[in-house]
Formats: sequence, C-alpha cells, structure tokens
Amino acid sequence: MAPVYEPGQGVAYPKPTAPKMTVEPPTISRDRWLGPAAPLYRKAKILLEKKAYRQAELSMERALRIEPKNGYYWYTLAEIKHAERQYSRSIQLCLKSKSLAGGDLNLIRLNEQLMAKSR
Amino acid sequence: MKTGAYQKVVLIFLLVVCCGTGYWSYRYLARLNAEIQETFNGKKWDLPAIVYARPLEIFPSMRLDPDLLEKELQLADYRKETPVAAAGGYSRVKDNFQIFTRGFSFASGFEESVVMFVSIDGGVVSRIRSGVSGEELDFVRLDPARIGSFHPQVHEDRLVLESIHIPKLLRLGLIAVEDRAFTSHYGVSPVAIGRALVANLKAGKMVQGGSTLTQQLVKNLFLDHRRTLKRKINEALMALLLDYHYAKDEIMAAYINEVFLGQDGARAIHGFGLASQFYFRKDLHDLSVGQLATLIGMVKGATYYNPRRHPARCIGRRDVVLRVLRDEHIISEFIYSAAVAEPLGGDVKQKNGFNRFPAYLDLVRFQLQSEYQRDDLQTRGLRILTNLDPQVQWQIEDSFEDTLTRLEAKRGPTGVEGAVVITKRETGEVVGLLGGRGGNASSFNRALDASRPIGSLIKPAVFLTGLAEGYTLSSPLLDSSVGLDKDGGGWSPENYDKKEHGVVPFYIALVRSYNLATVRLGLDVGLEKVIETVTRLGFPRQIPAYPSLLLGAVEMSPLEVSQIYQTIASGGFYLPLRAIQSVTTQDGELVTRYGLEIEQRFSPALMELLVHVLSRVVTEGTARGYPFDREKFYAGKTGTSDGLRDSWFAGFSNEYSGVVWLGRDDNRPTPFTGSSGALRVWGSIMESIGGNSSALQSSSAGLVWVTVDVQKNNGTAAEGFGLTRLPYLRGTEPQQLLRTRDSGLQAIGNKAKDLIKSINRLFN
Repeated sequence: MAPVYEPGQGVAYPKPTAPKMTVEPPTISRDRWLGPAAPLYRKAKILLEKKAYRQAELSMERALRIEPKNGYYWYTLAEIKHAERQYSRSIQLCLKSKSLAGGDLNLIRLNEQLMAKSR
Repeated sequence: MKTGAYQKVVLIFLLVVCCGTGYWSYRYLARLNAEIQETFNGKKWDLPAIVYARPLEIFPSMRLDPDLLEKELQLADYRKETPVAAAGGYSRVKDNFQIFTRGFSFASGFEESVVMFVSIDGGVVSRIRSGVSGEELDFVRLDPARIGSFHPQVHEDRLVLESIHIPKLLRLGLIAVEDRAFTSHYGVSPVAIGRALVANLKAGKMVQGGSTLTQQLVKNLFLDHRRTLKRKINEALMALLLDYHYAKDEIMAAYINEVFLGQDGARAIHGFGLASQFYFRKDLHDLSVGQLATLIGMVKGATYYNPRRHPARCIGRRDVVLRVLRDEHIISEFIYSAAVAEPLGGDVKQKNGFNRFPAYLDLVRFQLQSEYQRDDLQTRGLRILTNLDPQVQWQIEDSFEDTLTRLEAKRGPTGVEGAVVITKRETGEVVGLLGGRGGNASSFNRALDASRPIGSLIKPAVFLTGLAEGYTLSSPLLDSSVGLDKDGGGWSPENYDKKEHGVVPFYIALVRSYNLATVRLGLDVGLEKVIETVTRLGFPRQIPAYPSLLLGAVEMSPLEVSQIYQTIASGGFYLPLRAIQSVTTQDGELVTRYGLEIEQRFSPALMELLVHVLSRVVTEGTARGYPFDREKFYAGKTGTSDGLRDSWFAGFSNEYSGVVWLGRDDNRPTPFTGSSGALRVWGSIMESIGGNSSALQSSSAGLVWVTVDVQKNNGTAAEGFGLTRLPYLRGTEPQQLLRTRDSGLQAIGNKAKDLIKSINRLFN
C-alpha cells in the first residue's frame, strides 16, 4: 500500500481500503505480450530481415490495428523505421512504445537503446 | 454566249463544285477519323476513383457478431448460395460461415482469392479453416466493400474488361441477338438496314433497328442520341472508319464495356462487367447461362427490361435470347431447357454499399483534395482504400437515431441535428462518421462543416496546462466569483448551478466542471499557455486570447474536437486523423500510402493524469448520469454552450475515441445539456461498438499512486471528496501539502510545510 500523508504530521501510515474506481493500472506482462496479431508480427520480422521494409511496415500496421496497445509492436515499427534510416520517426515510435511499456523494463530498455542509436 | 462556251462554264463550275465538295468531304472524314483514333487509341472512358471500406481481418479469438459479418458480406456484394460455387459467394449455417473471397490488390500487393470456413461461438471467432486443405488458418483478410466512387458530372460507372477476359458466350450471344453479320460487315450492314426498313414499313412504326454493334458503339462513344439525318450519316461514316482501323475483337470489347445497362440512382451502369456485379453480385465469368442471357436481353432496353422493376418482362426477354442462342447452336437443347427454368437469380433486392456512407466520402474527398486534382479522382480509376469500418458505422447510425428518438419521445420533436466522429484511440483512424440525421441524407456535413462553440470541452486543455505548470491532481483551486476588468471585457462567469464551491481539489474542479475554478486556473497559468496547449493538442487555427475561451467560447467542428481528444486519448501523441489507408491505380500499383504518423506532444505521464480525471468525470462527475458498465473503461467530458445551443460529449473507451455534437442548424436553444443529450448518444454508441474489454489502463512508470485525504490535506471546503486514490508524477506526490498560486492558500501551504519540517526534526 502506498504511503498516505496527513497534514501537519508528515508521517506515512496505511489506510485500510482504497476506493474501487481508482485502482492502479496494471503493467504489461512480459510473457504475454504476443497477442492475436502475432502472425503479422512474425511476418514483419521476417520481412525486416529480408530488408523488405515497406512490406514489413504494412504488416506491422495491420498488427497494430488489432493490438494497438502492444508496446512491442510499436517498437518493431520503430525498428523498421530505423532500418529505413528514418530516425526521427523511429524515435517517435520508440516514445510511443515506451509510453505503453508500463513496468516492462525490458521494453523500456529496448526503446532507450534504439533511441540512442537513432540520435 | 455560244452554246459551247456555256457548256464549258457549266463544266468548270461543276468541276469546282466537285473538287470543293471532295475537298470538304476529305477534310470532314479526316476530322471524324482523327476523332475516332484519338478516342479509341487513348482512354475511352473517364473512370471514377473507387472508394473501399477497410478490409475485414478475421482471426481466432476475435469478437465478431455473426449477423454483422453477414451484413458486411452483403455490403461487399457477396451473394448467399449453397453450395458456394465461386469467388464472392458465401453460405451460413447458424454461426458457421463458408466464404469464398475475391482477389484484391492491397497496398502490400495482390491477395489471391481463398475459400475458408469461419466458426463463431458466442460472438467470438473460434476457428478458421482453409476450404481447400482443411488446415487451421490464423489470419484471413476479406476483400473490402466498395462504398462509393468519385464521378465526374456525367455519372457513368463501369468496370472495364480486357478483351481476353470476356466470356465467349457473351460475344457469340451479342452477335446472334444484336448483329449477326458483325464478323463480315464493314461497320455498316446494308442488308440489316433494308430488313429493318421493310419490317418498320410493314408495322407502320419502329419495330426493328438496322444499326450494327459498331454503329451502336459509335453512337454511344462519339455522338448524341438525336434522330437527325446528319447524326445518322456521321454514325455510318464513323462506323466504317472504326471498322477499317480496328479489329473486330477490339470493337466488341469496347462495346461490351460501353453499353448502358441500367441506372442505380444517379449512377449510370455501363458495361457488362459492372452490370454483372450490380444485378447478380458476381464476376462476369461466374454468371450462369440464364443470367448472361438476361444481360444480353437488356441491351435492347435496360430500363424496360430491368430485372428488379419488371421481372416478368425481363424473363420473357431472356427466354427470347436463350431461344436465339439455341437456334444458332451456341447452346445445346439441354442447357437451354435448364436456363429457361432458372429464376432470375441474384439477390436482386439487396442494396449494396454504393455511396451508402456519403458523409464519410466527404471526409475522404476532403483529405484527398490537397494531394489530388479533381480530374485524377474522376477519371483515372484510382482505388482508394479507407478506414471506414462498416460495422462501427452501422452501430453509430442505429444508436444515434434510436437515442434521439427516445429523447424526443419525452420532449416531443426538437429539431435537433447532430454529428458523430469515431476514431481508433491509438492509431487515429476514422472508422465511422455521421454528418446529420436521417442516414446522412442532407448535403450539409455537420461533422466537417458545423463550427460551433465547444463549451466545457475546452476544460481538459486548461487543466492540462495547469498540470504542465506544476499543479497536481489534489492541488486546491478556488471556485469563487471572478470579476474581470475592462481588458477582460467586463465578463462575469458563473457556475452552471450558479453557486460558488470555495476551495476544491484540482481534479474535482474538472470532474464537476466548475467554471469559476477553471477560469481562475486558466488566468493563473495564462491564456497564451492555454492556447498553446490547444494548438499542441491539434487545433490548427488561431484562437483569440479572450478569457471566455477558458469556458469554450471558441468554435470548432466535431472533426476538429475529435483531433484534440485523439491526442489526449493516445497519451499525448499527436496522430493526424486518417480516413484513407492507401491509393492504388486500377492495375494495383501503389500511388500513395497513408501510414502511421506519430509525434509526441505531451508527456504520457502528464496525459495519464488528465485521462484519470476524465475517467472520473464518467464515474462521479458530470457524466455519471449515464449507466455505463463500471467494469469497463470510459473517459470524457461533457460540454454545453451558452443558452443550451450546443450539446457535446467527447471522450474515449479502451479502443475508440469519439465526439458527439447535438444542436440546431438555426442555432436556437435545444432542450439538452451535454449530459442530457450528447452523452446519451455517445454512451449508446460506445457500448454498441464494444472493443472495451477492461476498466484498467496500462500505467506509466513515471507515476505513483497515493491514497490521500484530499479534504483534510487541502483544507478544502466542499463535501464528498475526502479519501481517494490519485496518481502523481513521481516526486510530486503530496510531500508538500498545498500546491496553489493563490496567495492565501499558498500561505497556508507554507505553514503546513514548515510544520511538517519541524515535526520531522523532532523525530530525527
């Protein structure tokens, strides 16, 4: 339970319950990030390796229409843009991916590394 | 004058006349010849751009209403048949479908036709199997529904077929029925003219035409339909020239693509390719002998023999054609017997999606006009793949009408119009749009063109500016009257309930839409900064810096509001709203692609604070009156302009962002506030389109959640918001108890801070 401060005391102590509608959001589970659009994601990865960038991008955009909150998919799109040397776009996509990462340190690290490479 | 001399003069005169006539005739024929060759060698027809809905992607675990799937298949001109015999066919047994897709050129290339079985269980796709190999498929994409086209002034439409794609039976049938000497005459058939003349004289009226197919083509391509001698002579001369220059195959193909075969509202159906789709939802190659004979029969009079309006007459004509085909030994007796026993066939009463969504087409046209000339859109046959989701669009239309009808049942007719824009929350794709009541019948598209004061919809921008300037969600704000001096225009805003609420927490001021606290906050952070925020959120025009803008005295269209809320919904990322995915040529070559463009304009953590407050507008604020499912996530803001002239709601669910506006075109007051009007429509739409699996949102790593007793913490006066749990930017959680620039409250805050420090010193 997060600390609670009372005026004039400055001392934290736990409150018994939190109101129902203000629950903290969850973070993305690392082992569950591949969803129904996984086939499109895998196809995009293969196309990226083959340097078929436009096709890879189209495949990832399809994947994102289905799983728009998947930070890993946004990251993959950022990778494609980086490979196409569109660095500023790659950075923007990394920022988006990072905004969806929640507490997924792996995804945060991946994005920071790619952004560093793109700068 | 002597006789010989006289004869000489006459001869010379005749010679001159003959030479003149010959020269004039030569010049005249040369002109006709040039006209024919120019048209025939080049582009014969203006081909309108064809607009498609988004292609439906199907995958296991996808939510899919089987009835909406079937409706979409029919919109895409699929025909229901058992067994499913050819591309463009489907069958349904309970919630199990067999679908035979048609090949389609996407931006990624051509996708072949596939046969598949789709099983839906409890509104979720449980299984997809290949209809050929039986293997499980993890992803399929249907060819999209054609939803409209951009026509030139003459509303002709056609699907142009190459000569090699024309069925042999159609060629032979046309020759047998319309022009038996087609392969042997030179463009004009004196025998046919003589025969027609005799028949017409005998009958005492026009019963038979003597025109060849070539003459008919010339008439349609080059001439008008006046019955004058000059036109008939031109027709004959041009037919001769056409036949001289071009192969019979080319002339036949042109005829098959040109001939008029019916009318669909303002759109003229030209050519057998489009007629086949229009009347039977099939490619020409997939038509039965009877259906092909029906179309051949319609050449004589497409309106008179229209299978939808005059089915009996049409069947009679079809049978005449079939008899000719049998008598000419083109079809066997067996096939003839089977064909005359056929019903007309095709889902002739179904309406397809042609220009079914005119308000959305306006948006497509609007977004294309900056990059394409009107001529490109009306003549080059471009293929425009859009983001329109027909299933969402239908839900919008139904929910909008139902809700307004229900609201008006209580109050009587209100004369209220409306507009709706729905987008995908994270990608900015416009998936549905409504420009007015009555299925978009009006030419005035309010979603794009109605610019109205947005009222409290502006407040999130004011509060976002406050957050960026250092306020937290529990910072106290003073909600008391604020008198503005002459420079402020002598303006005295009031709360909706005409009360003052004293010191209130920051988030409550927005949740309950307190005007006075908002104005004080806006003046504190500065009008210029608020305007800058609105601009960064995506509003493209200049806003005058009057204090009244803090309460929404700024006019925007629903589409512009939608852009602003899109930036909020997507966590501070600006994405231009997109109606179009791609533009390709008629051969499938990619011309333009409209990919994901994204730009971070606000910190996602900062935006998450705002989103949290907007979600509480729905659960405990001005939008709490709508019975939303509390297990699902909704966030948004109500808006009402002065005198109840405009009722707004803008917000988002997990998957969609949406804006609803209600108001009158004559700007008179409506009976609705944002909460009692637009919110009802918005809620109904958002619940019907679904895509909202959880109430929980992913959380930025930059936030900490703290349970605070806001009332005690801040010494706020209003009741009912004591203990609550709020997000804070890391490091701004309430160590410092009061965060305000109001000097009196700041003093209290400083005192409290000193007190905390002294207590800490005691314990340390």
